[in-house]
Amino acid sequence: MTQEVVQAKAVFPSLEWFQLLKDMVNGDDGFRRIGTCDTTMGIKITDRQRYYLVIFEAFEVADVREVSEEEAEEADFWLEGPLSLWREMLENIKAHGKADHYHTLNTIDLELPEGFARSHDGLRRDAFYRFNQSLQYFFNASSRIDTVFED
Amino acid sequence: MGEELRIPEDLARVAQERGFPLDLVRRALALGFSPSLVAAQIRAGAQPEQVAAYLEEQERVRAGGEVHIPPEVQQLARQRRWPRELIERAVRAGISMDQVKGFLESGLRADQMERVVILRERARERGGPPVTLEWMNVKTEWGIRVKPGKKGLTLGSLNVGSYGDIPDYWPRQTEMPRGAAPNPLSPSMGYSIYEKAELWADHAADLYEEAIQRQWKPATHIPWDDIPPLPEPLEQALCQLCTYMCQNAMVISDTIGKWLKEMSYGYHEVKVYMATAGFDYARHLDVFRKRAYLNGVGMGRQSPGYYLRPIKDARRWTEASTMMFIFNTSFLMHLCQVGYYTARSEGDALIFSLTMQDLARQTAYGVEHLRYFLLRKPECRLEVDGYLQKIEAFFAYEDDKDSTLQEALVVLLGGGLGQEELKRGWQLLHRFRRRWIADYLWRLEAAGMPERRQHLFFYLRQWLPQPHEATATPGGMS
Amino acid sequence: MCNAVPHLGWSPLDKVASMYKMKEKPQVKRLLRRTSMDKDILYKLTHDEDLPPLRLDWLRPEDRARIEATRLRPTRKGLTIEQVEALTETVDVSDDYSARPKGAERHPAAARHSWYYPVRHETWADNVRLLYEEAVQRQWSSATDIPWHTLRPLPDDIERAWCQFATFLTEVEFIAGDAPGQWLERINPEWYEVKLFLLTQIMDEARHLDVFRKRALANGGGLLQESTGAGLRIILECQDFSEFSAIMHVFAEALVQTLFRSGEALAYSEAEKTIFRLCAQDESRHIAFGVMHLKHILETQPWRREEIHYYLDKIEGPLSLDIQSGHSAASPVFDEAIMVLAGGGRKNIDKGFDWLMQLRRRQVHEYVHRLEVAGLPERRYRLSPALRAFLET
Repeated sequence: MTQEVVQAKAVFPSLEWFQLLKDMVNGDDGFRRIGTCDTTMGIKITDRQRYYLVIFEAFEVADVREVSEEEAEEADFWLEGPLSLWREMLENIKAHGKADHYHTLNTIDLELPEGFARSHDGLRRDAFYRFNQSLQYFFNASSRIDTVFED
Repeated sequence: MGEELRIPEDLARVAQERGFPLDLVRRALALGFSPSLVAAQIRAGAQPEQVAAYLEEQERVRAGGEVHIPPEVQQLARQRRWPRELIERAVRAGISMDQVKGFLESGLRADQMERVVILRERARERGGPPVTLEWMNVKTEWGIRVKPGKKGLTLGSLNVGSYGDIPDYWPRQTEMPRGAAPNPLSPSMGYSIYEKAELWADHAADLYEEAIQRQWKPATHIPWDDIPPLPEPLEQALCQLCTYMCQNAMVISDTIGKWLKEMSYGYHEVKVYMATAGFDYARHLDVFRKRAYLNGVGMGRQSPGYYLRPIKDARRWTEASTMMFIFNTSFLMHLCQVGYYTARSEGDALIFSLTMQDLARQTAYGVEHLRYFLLRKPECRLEVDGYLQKIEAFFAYEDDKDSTLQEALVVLLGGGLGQEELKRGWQLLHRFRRRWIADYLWRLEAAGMPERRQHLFFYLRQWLPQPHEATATPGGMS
Repeated sequence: MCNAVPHLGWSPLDKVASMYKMKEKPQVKRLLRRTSMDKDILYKLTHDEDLPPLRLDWLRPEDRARIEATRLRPTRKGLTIEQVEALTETVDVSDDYSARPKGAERHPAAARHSWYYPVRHETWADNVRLLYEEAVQRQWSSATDIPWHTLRPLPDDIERAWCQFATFLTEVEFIAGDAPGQWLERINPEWYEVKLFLLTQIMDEARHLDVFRKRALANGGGLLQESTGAGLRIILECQDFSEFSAIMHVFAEALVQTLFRSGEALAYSEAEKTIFRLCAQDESRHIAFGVMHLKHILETQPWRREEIHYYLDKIEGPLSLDIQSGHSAASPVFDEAIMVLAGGGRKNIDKGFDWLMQLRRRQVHEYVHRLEVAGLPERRYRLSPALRAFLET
């Protein structure tokens, strides 16, 4: 599914960056056509102690918030990694318009010994697989953001 | 003759539109035929000449005239042992001789024909369609107006008021929908599951809607044109994996189908969710067969099927569900993870990720159901442990006896048949298997069976997390 | 993955594996920083581990020649089963009772799984592949594809009639899901297309159960009276696939499909019209399978003609008079609900009765016509009197 090219600028990680992504995806019919997505996803950028929550509901991203580490871990699952890992993924998405096979959420999750998608509940963690298409579409939308990475 | 019979306006209009003589209409009404029946006959194209002949005969016999029975009808009646009186009564009730002949030819017995005649006589007495409209006054909850939400009008949102009362035990053996008024004439449909604990999962309705929303189409959703063949023997190894996925999908869908008719109607959410699960497996069988044949190789070798037999042999839905949707689905997800990881095209990666999407829904049902079951039937915990022991043992038996699938995965992961490649493939396979067992045990923990970790079948323990490797986060690979 | 397709790049693990000998190089150190466990994997990759002896006997030399000799390309309809099966042989008889996928190499010690039908004709229909692909393409969602917002308040008698109509349909539709389900494990994997089609039918019927329940509870009404269900039990009691298909697909679903196609007169909103249209579309596929299966049976097993008549006698013939009550194999409550809807209210029930009689006529004519297409024209003369009356004036 192609995504419209609209450029906007934001720093990663930041709440503004995630809100930009939310707005882009909510205006995108391609996201809607994948189907309903009902899950809460935590984001942990470990070496920067930055944590976010992305709430997916029905056909849209209902909310994004900056949260504490505990709150991020209350999500169905969270994606955890150092900034370098996030940067590599996002730069790959930017370069190719979407993640190539070696930088998809799935591949990164398979490659990391502790996994990229983690949870305190084996059932809730499966939401990562159930809604993987939608989650990947969400991150792929970042190709339309001119991302500046924190030093 | 007395006052001329008045023809209702609607009927007169119908007759005039079709050019049907009003005189014939009047004579039919005088004989007691209802206006609606006359109108229906006119609309159906009844010919005035035929009707006139019929009415003449009816007027004659009802005035006491003898009923003339043609010889061929007499002969048929003798063969079917119809008394003459029955034919005469039929004609007087308004059944034409042609119709009588038709009933004889269709093989009706005399007692059956008598019932037809009685019904016709009663309809004539009533002078209109036989209606009671009693159903309008049954005492069910009325005034329900469920509105669509963000996800549209969902099945789960209908569970309001008494329609949301999902009893622990469903008392009806019929197909009565939950919330309807029962009909004492309804026969049993032969279900065997009437207890909520035996099949329920709280979010079954949500899973059903999600399954429909996220359906994908193997023929058109996968970019088949952009899947070049892998270097041999990787293409063959992938086709072997596809063969296994096809066989597994077929057996699981058979099992789901077999159990559908056992689930009573009070828990329709689970039935409809299972319908989507069956459809998921249909699409898996479809997509993996297409992938196997795409680049010329086709199906590989069948698996001996030992491990799938206990799933088919299950005697309780929870047994089948736990084996299918927790153990087997965890294993299939492991296979899909290998397939995804080794994919060299977007198309192949998409096949495996879409399959994992469907499988994850099934584990969601399996885990939730087991959790619900164990909370309400804690006395069955050891029984479930026994089912898990059984499926794990059968898996070990087959995995040990038949190395075809394992070898195919080793070749795929290693990237070839060279010694170093095979070694690497073997190591990576163990890594993926450790992840599979970790995920499987973690799902059981979520279902309320953390102790399975200690009871895991011996053969599978080789893939338990090693003591010296830190388990950084619950469920993470170690 | 040392033969990775160049433009896709290598995975980080491959990079690490290939460079382990150069572990002092800066790029390797950067990659190692990414995960703490790579060292462990590196260790395992570079040390001899016991690789068990592999048979690799599933690798067939003849497959090598086939790779790329035949490459399937999607058509306008995508990549279809028909294209795949053009490469395979479809046999008429199979003595394999294991779960072997069609075309797979037999395993000498495979376990038997079921008592499958051993003869293709017993379950086949020539259009089954096409119907499966069509079913997959034409799925719809009752939650979002029905314009529920177009429902409008109706007079009480009409709303009650709609709710009774919907109660009946939500009740009976899933018999058409339960029944195919019980046949799945009898369909031989050699003719897996029939399994696939039945699974789409089960999916369709789940949607029908769902959409009619939604209608009953979406407009200020509720569920009403359960039906008698006698006719539905006959479907579940079937002991043969052709019996099941003739009764369910050719008779029962055909009557329902004609009703749905005629549904304009019963619909009071765009929502209801859409429900009828989408459900009729699904039912049409089921009927198409049933008619072609019946045709196939009569062509390949002509000695079964009288047997088929017996099955139809049970559901609509002389025998049905004894085992079912009322004119309608469905239920009097269903007929009455239709009369109220078609008449525009209980005051005009006569007009509704007319419409019902016309519908019956259409149903019976279409049913008989389908039987003629299937090769059973003489059924016209063997219908039950209740149905036969609609063929005559």
